[in-house]
Amino acid sequence: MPLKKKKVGSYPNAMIIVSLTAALFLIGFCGLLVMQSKKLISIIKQNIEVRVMLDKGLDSTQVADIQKKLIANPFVLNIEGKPQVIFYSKDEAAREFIADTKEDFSAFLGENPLHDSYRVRLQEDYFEDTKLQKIKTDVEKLEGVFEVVYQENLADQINKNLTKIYIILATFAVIMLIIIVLLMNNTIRLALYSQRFLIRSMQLVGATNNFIQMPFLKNGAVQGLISGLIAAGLIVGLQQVALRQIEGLQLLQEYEKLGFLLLGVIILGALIGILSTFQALARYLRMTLDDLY
Amino acid sequence: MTAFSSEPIIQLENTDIYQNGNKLVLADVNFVINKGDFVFLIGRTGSGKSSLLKTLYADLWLESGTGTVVGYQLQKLKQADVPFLRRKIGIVFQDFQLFFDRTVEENLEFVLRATGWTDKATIKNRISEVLMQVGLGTLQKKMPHQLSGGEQQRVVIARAMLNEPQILLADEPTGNLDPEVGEQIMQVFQSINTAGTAILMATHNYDFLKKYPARVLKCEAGSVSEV
Repeated sequence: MPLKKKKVGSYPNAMIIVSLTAALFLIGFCGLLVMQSKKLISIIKQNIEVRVMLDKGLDSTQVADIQKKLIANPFVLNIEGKPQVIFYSKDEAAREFIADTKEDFSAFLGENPLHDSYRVRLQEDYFEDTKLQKIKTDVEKLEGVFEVVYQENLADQINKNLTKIYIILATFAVIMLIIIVLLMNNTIRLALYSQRFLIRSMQLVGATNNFIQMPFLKNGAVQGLISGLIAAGLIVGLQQVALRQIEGLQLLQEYEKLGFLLLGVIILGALIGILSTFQALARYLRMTLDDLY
Repeated sequence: MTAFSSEPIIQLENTDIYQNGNKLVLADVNFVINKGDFVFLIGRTGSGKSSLLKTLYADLWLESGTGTVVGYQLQKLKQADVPFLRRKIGIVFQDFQLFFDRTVEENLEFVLRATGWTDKATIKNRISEVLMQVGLGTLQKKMPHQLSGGEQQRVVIARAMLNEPQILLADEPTGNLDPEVGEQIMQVFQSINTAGTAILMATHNYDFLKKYPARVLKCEAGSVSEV
């Protein structure tokens, strides 16, 4: 039986591809989580309102004047050119209150103690307690404004939790990267050992390190690309399953960003393949021929 | 150095040779090999012959003294220069064997491709030339295991000749061959030498020294002397 020709730079692909795919999938999954959690937080933030309670007894001109002043502020969210400042009369507020609490306060108070109000949705950037505090102070200075109310501490709490989640995911991704670099390093070391006669021959006849490295680097890049493509496929598959299983998840989908994420995973795969191969090779090609044995 | 240069191909001055880069095996080595020289290198096992040869093809760095090999100054040699130095010398070593998973032609083609040859026709021509030179013109398609020991060693010499080296470094090239085949290999080296390529051959076969009189360098007691 003829011997199988040993090809320079070839080494067992399956283990590397499986491990690299797993690492890239996890990194991509982390990215997907970050992307969707950001979108979720953004939606939550945009739906949180600051309520501007108006003094009692204002006439319609004064009420309209306050609206104009509110709209002029940069913190007001605009959706399709419409500033998100909505007037709620005290009657509407009462109806809402009664619907929420199932208690009709007008029956025993005899009057409606609530105020007319504007409900203002804010730009995402202003979703910090210090900025909210400033908005409250500034708006309360407007003539005809009785009080500005918002849910305090919610902003900081969400921001803090989000930061924690990002740190955990980033740590996880970095650990995965380290593991895959070590794994590739080890595999390439074994490959170099199993091909030491070929490499020694190439070195003895005067092949440059670039020439010796090239097949390994090509192999590394191809493995990285294949792993990246498989990982991207798995991420898309997982996302599709999640969309079918989790109601409302559709709201969080940003397909352009998902495209960039998948592209990033594929490029990252190729980069990891090339760089870890290069790093492992550089170390072993510096050895003398005897040390390589 | 040009092909017509009168500069020595190898020149070592006050050179210390270290084994594995730390154990001194030969001290204050001085010798010159010129174009067309045939030099035997003799000495007992462990006397430093291999370390000396490794230093010449830059597998061991020159730690002290000065040395020039095919125009490269060993004491100033950079890692990036090593492949180009090795292209100008041919190496015939016992542990630098043929690949048994490819034909004679593929063995030789592998070397040419590894040293930057790309044109198929030129590669084919050069392979034919070197095989003719060692008397193996018709064995291109054979696998190494189909060849006798002597024929395999001729292929190894042909491989060393591919890049038209100025010198062949040979370490025990007939060590594993019977005397008759060893004799034939010696004649191949002689004909290569006659064509102008210098040869530095480490050997334990003292019959060659008598039969093919040439310069002899002896490694003994930590030094190299001309016999």
